Amino acid sequence: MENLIKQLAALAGAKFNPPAVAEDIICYQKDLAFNDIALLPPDFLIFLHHYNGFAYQGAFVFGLNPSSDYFADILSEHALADIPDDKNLVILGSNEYDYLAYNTEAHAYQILDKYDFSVLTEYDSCADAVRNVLRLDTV
Amino acid sequence: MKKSALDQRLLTERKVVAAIRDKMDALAHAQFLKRKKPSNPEQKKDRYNGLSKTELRKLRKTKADYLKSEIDLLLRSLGLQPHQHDPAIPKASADESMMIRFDFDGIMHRPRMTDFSESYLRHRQLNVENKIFEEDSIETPFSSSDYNLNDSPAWNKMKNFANFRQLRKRICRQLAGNNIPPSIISDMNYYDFVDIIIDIAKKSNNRPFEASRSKHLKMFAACYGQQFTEIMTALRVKPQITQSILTNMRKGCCGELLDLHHIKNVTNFHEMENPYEINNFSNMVLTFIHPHHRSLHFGKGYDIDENIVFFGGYDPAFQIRRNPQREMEYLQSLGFGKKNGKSY
Repeated sequence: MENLIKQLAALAGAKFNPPAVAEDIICYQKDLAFNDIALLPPDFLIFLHHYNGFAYQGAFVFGLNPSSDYFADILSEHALADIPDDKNLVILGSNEYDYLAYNTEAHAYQILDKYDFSVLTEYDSCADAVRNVLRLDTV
Repeated sequence: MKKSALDQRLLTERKVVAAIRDKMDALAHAQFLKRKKPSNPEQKKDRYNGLSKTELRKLRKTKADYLKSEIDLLLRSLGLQPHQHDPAIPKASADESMMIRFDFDGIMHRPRMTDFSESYLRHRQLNVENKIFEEDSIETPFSSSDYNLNDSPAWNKMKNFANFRQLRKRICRQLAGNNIPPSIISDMNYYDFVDIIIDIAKKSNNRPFEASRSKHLKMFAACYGQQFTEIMTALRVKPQITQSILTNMRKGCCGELLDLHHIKNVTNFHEMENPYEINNFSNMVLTFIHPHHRSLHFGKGYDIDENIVFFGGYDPAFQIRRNPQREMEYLQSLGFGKKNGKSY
């Protein structure tokens, strides 16, 4: 994760929202549970402590009530995504054709096709999954 | 068009954009409920406390369905039609989807071990074990001429993309270098080939090819830069922002405001007459991310006129239509003939 944060900080043309604070994260986790959506995984919380929303070349990692409209909010994106009801899934990012999600049942970050929600690939690590959705090399 | 008439249309365009944004925001906030901290201590009970989970779900769904139909009506009124997928036409399989993404973005993702074919994985592991010995202690038993990639059904799909096709010789050399027996080519799947391409890139310390996205952005800037500048001026975008966007496009980047959109959706690429033209410039439209690109992907997506190359607004006054002659001249200036130009 540390390498990813350094890599993102050095990306020319990227936009980011300031970090989320612990209190906001706790409240947000309650909102997710209230709406029958899976809780945010621990390594994604580390990401939020650096960037509460990140955008690069039309690809996004969502945030928690981000301060600017430019960045997408996780709950709002769930509403717009129209994803099938799945208590095990939380959508964390998107690009033109994919969603980045965390699946609590599979214990994995998944890249889902935006159109039919089929799983295209899975990652154990949050960092590689974020790289995938932001269209950065994972090798 | 007279400036006053264009200004009038800009006013309407801005109202349309605001309406779409508002409705999307409303949808985003209506379906899910965020509990607010009570502003005064007596107001402890939040307004949803009296409702059961089923009632809450029903309430959310009703609100969401209403707002979705509002957005749909608005987009239809602007001439966009929701995409109708023919269930008889198969959607892209996972490897086809990944192949299209790799060609378009040029981004390398090392496949998981479970993605590899059994025979490739076995030989890959053997090769890893062999690497511990001095290079001259093991002779490479194969040469690149021993490989016929056409034996592989996966390669026969990949070779439809010019970016992969141009790697054929290097792939054969790398297969020989990795001691992969020619006899297993027919079993090799898409992920096996990706693994080889990544090895090629690592060896040369360079990207294996220039991504289609990058080529298309350069082509857009070269062919439509002047018209793009005029429309951005009509949209009252600061000239320095427009110039910075064009400078980025000439380098193959799109910046933070715009993105390329596939007119025919990647998942439905089999619907195309020639599916492997999915990443061609002729299937691309440049558009603003908010709300234009998002609205094109709303629901199951909306179809857009394939002759539009820049969708700068819902009003045609802020759109650019294709100029095949200019595109051909650009491709010829790069040394592509008519035949090659078609698959650019």
